[in-house]
Amino acid sequence: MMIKPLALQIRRTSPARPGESIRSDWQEFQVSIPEEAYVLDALEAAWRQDSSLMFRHACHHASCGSCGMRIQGREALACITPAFDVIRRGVIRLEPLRNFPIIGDLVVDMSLLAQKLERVGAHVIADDKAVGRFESCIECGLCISACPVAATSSQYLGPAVLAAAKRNMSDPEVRSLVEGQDGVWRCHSAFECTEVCPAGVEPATAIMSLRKDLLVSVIRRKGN
Amino acid sequence: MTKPHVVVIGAGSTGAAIAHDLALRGLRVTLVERFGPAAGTTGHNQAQLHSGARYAVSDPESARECAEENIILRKLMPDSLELNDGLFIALSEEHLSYRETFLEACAQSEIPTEEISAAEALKLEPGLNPGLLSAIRIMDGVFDPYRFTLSFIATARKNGANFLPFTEVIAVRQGQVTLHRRASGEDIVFACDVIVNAAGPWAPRIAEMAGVPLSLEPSAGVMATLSKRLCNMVINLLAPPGDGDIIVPQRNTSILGTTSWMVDDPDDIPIPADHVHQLLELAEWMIPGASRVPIRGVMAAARPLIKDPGAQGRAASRGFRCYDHTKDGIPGFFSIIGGKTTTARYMAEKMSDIVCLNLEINTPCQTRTTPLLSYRLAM
Repeated sequence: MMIKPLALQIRRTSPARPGESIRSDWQEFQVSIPEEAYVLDALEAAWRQDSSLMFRHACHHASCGSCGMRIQGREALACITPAFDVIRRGVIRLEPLRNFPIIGDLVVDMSLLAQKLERVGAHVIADDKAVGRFESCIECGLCISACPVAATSSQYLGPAVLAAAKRNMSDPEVRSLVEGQDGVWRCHSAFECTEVCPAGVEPATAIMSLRKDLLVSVIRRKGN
Repeated sequence: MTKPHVVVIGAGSTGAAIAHDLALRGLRVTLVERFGPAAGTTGHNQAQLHSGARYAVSDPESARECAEENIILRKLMPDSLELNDGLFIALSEEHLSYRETFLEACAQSEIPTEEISAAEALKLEPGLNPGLLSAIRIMDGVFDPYRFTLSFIATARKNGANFLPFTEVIAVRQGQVTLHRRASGEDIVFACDVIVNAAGPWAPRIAEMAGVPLSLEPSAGVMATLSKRLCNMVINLLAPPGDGDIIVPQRNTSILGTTSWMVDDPDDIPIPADHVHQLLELAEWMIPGASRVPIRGVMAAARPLIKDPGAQGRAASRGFRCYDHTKDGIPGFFSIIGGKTTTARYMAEKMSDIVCLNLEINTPCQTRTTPLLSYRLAM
């Protein structure tokens, strides 16, 4: 096992104190990790140098979805991104996800996404078999961060939520959310969501398919 | 009269379940955690909802607890579990010779088992080694340890508990903890009636702050996750607990686990490269082709096992122990060590019973029948 050095540049943000504005700055850490280690291992090594560093992590195998961040400017899960695959000139840059309020450093507030997901979908889907399977979507928020429409409005349901809604369209409340002004018609078809999804959910495909289903049902209604 | 205030240290499955239990009993609860929920041993676990069968021979008490909790959790969080069952498979004569001992131990701990033929097993799980000799079906399942913990926190908060993530404990003394809040950088002093140390492998550090001796065996385990679901059920080797003898399918992945060795610092666990090879080799034996599936992630966590002079690592009990530090000169300070995520609710019940006895509160535990709220309410 070879141990190799790298520099982590982390975008650090402290919450605003009364009378002050939010402070945000880059901090560089020199760490050494095994060559096959992941960005999260590098981040933990940085934390051992400075325990004030804030980031979320739990499962270390892309199941909990809590370590989503922007790595070299691109949304990814730190736990499954091999550090030396993404390093450029000895440096890896880490920033918090976009389109979420920042709680501190790399930790963002996911509560609005959680509320939206709660309105449209279940945690485990009962498929045709006798057992329920965990949903592929790990609710990590990468798609929301990458979405150009989510950047313009926090009300937009967003890729993960619309993909989840697709399985529940027989519920009239879900259907009206999907058809409504913050639903599928706001999507600009940038496909960034599908690009960054670590779980192969393909939210953009789900959105396009929802649009098609809605159009077909409108045409049928008119035909009758 | 104001409600007694309990500070619970550590938001792994144990601390979260204790916060839930005490909040339901009407106490004022503050749950503190230096990271987010399940960032330690709980988050890194193999995601197996134990039937108890794994421990039936080596640790009947833990086995029985797992079997009981497995049934209770099915009712409390039905939407958060994959109830896909598990198989113990025999691939060698040695495995077959263990069969009798295994079935007898399961029966003694009241763990349901069903012997099935190799042909039936292969029908259920076509990916298994075709040389399979026999299989035993058990009630294993799969959960998501992060969301499992969030469900307890969500329910505790609904019942009035306060959750403080990214909050480090920096001092502990009788009736008082000092906390450092990482987001704001400020230190706050909390007065409380009771402190419960549920910090897992970090519990000795918390105890040390109060000047109390507390020892445990931090036993690390490596797990490797493959980027494909190899099986529908949890696959175990029909053998005494050993390295790399379980494959847990979760979502579209498979978690291979686990190895076991002693570590000094639960914050810094280097992953030995040969452990991953060992996991892949055994997985290949159970499900041919497994070792050619790309690895999605590799992780290691420290299990906070009870220190037992007679047994280490694999042989150490998966049971748990509650400590009242009154005898160490700090009344109102308690620690809990050991256990399994599967038995977190039961561990919390026992710890909370002791806390309530200490506070002379007679409200009984209600977690056995109180459904848990959606994890999303704690996100």
